[in-house]
Amino acid sequence: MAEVIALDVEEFPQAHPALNGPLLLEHARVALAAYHASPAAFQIHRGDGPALAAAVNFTAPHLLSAGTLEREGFVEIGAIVLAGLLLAHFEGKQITRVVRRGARVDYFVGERPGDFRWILEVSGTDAESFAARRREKRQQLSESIYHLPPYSRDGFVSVTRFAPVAAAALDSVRGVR
Amino acid sequence: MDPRVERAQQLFWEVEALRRKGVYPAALPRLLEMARLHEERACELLQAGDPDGWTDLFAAVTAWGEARRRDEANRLLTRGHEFVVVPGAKQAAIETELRRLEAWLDALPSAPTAAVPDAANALVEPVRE
Repeated sequence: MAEVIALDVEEFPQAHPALNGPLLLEHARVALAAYHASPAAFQIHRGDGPALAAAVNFTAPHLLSAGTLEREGFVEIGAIVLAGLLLAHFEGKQITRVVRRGARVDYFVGERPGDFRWILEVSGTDAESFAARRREKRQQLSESIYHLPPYSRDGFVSVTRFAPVAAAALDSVRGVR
Repeated sequence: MDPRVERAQQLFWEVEALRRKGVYPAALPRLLEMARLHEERACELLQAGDPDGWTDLFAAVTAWGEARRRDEANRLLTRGHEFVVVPGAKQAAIETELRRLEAWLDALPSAPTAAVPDAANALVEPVRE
């Protein structure tokens, strides 16, 4: 029987010390708790390889949390947390910087705080097409200024769907040289 | 790590939280601090020929714009165009990005007035993917 990968939302702040992890945790809990009890069963996708099974552990959110924001906000932040868990688990990397560039938000990834060698595109959805979202985000990453010279940064695309069948992907994309 | 990066990151999440609530007045001092931190780091790095300074320059222009300090954003954009002509800089991609930012600034809603949570007063939502 295939091994089930164990991921723990509560470990996000330790894995990504450059981010304000505790601020993001409750969002991820709310995003997950709309459809799942802990541990949530997820399919994990990496590139074109076969899907892996994962159990995502999380603490139940406060009863009032879900009413404090629109659902979209929880899904967006929840997707960042899931991306962070996958980056840490599969790549030993962390999200090191998030900055705005006009209407866009750029995510940088490294192996330690202060390391911005990779870029990340993140997306979350409740129940929309997972495959289409992955394609869209890959395209978006390929058009990023940081993916092109003079930066030519390699990057990652992470997409999470919270509704069953829940799934999360982490794809690698090589920079343009 | 550069403490300006850490502080700017902390401010980023605080501003994001306020953005979701549509609260402009509380975000304003944070945006201004963020703009100054990014600008300082941008100029330092770009003067040293480090292309990572562009990340901070783009972020500074964005923060000045969101704070509705168009004159400051314009001043920094001009500075950016001057940095682009440095020999060895990859002019095309950076120039394109500076022009995009200029267009983004042009499209921003007019200056907010008071603590009225209407559309013109709210922080601009980023592209949500």
